[in-house]
Amino acid sequence: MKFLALIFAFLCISSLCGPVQASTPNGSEINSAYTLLRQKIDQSFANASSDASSGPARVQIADYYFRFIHKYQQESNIKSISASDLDLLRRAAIEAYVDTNNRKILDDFLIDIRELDRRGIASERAYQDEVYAFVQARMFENAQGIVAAHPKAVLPPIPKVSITNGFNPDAPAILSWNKDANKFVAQNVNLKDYKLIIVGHPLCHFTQRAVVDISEDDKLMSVTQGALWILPQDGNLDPSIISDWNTHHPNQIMSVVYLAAKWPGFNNWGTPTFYFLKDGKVDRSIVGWPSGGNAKALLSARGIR
Amino acid sequence: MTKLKVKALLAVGFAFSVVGASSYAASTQTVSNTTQQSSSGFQQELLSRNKLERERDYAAAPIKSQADLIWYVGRMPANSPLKQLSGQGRARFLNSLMFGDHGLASFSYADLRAELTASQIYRVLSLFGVQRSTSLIKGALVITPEDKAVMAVPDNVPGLKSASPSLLPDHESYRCLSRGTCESAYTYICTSNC
Repeated sequence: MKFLALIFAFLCISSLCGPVQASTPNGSEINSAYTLLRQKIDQSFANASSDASSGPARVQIADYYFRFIHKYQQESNIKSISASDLDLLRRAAIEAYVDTNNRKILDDFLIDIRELDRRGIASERAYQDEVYAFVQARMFENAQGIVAAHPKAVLPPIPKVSITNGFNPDAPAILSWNKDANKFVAQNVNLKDYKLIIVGHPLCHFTQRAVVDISEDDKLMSVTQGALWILPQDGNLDPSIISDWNTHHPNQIMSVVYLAAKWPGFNNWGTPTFYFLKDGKVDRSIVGWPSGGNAKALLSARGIR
Repeated sequence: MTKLKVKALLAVGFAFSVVGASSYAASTQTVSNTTQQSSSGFQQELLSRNKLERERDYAAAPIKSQADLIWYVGRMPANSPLKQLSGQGRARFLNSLMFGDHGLASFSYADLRAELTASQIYRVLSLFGVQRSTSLIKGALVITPEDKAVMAVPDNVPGLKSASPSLLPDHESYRCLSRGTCESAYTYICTSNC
């Protein structure tokens, strides 16, 4: 009797204190969830209209991620997920993180990478994604650590980044390229210093077209005189692209946004987007440079016909 | 020889040396300018050639629009390169496609990279005339010499990438939006058709 009681007690205790064995998700379940997430992402961007910001789309994407994917990303059950599904979870997390800059999604991604590492099956691609994510998150030392830890992987070199005295990452800031010192310098921006801030990218042909049109028009040149040109926040920080652009475009010197979320009123990071400011606050914005240009809207924003 | 003659000879010699020096300087400058012009001319020539090749690719492509895509998928040939993708992978790839007035404007390569080799990706993108974007796909699987050839990037041409990375017409990690903008999007490519 005592023996049976002991067995019974043991069973009771183990059921209370032992690890909760979560059910292993069906393989096709994660694949379907990822497909659904991707559909929603594509739909969100397709619905972003020319005057609306893509900000709401990005909020939606985070919402979809937490609804469809996050539940699979628990450390307690990730060990039981198949290698192929784990890779799908990794892809879902990195894609959603890049679109949203949501740090909780980044945390999920890092859980996936750690598990892939633990199993010894992390691919070069996974490390490339990890570097990209860390650079986008401005965690440069972490990115450098990945590059150093995997010398045989084809990973981008991480440029030097120095921080100015008194730098506040929670305020608008940029990474400006110092060609002579061969490094990026993180520095804050006082929005009150600018009437116009232009989001652009050297590799975006809309931006390139806008710059050509602006350079050929005195009125547009006067409107954009003294503007701050900035690249959106992403996981690429290739000095050669910015250096080359700045060399060839001394009137449109570009810097890189440090953390997009810290720029109040800047809800659209499509390139090019023109933000007109009053007393350091966004007054209005003009989005895009389609064929035919957007000169009229730009001039009109400054009251010029 | 009289002092005068010596002076005259020296003067002439000096004059020739000045002319010679300035000619040398001019020729050096000309070489330098020519080098710069050749470099810029070389880039322009590459750009033009690249544009012509893309136009040819587009002309030969069976899918130039959403309507073409619907038609093609409805009658997908047995040997279509799209059939090398898994069902879900193919669905995600096709759903990511965005067409502009001049063909495929952006697409996600996430599933292409995960499931296909570089030459298989090339064949898929040939359906849309954007096969030259294959070389932008970081981490594409290279196994055969054909895979390696497909991944040979324009910036492997000596002098081109160092001259101007912005000469490459496609924008990796960005997608095309219909309103004349590009937007950051991981594992997407915004093509020159945007």
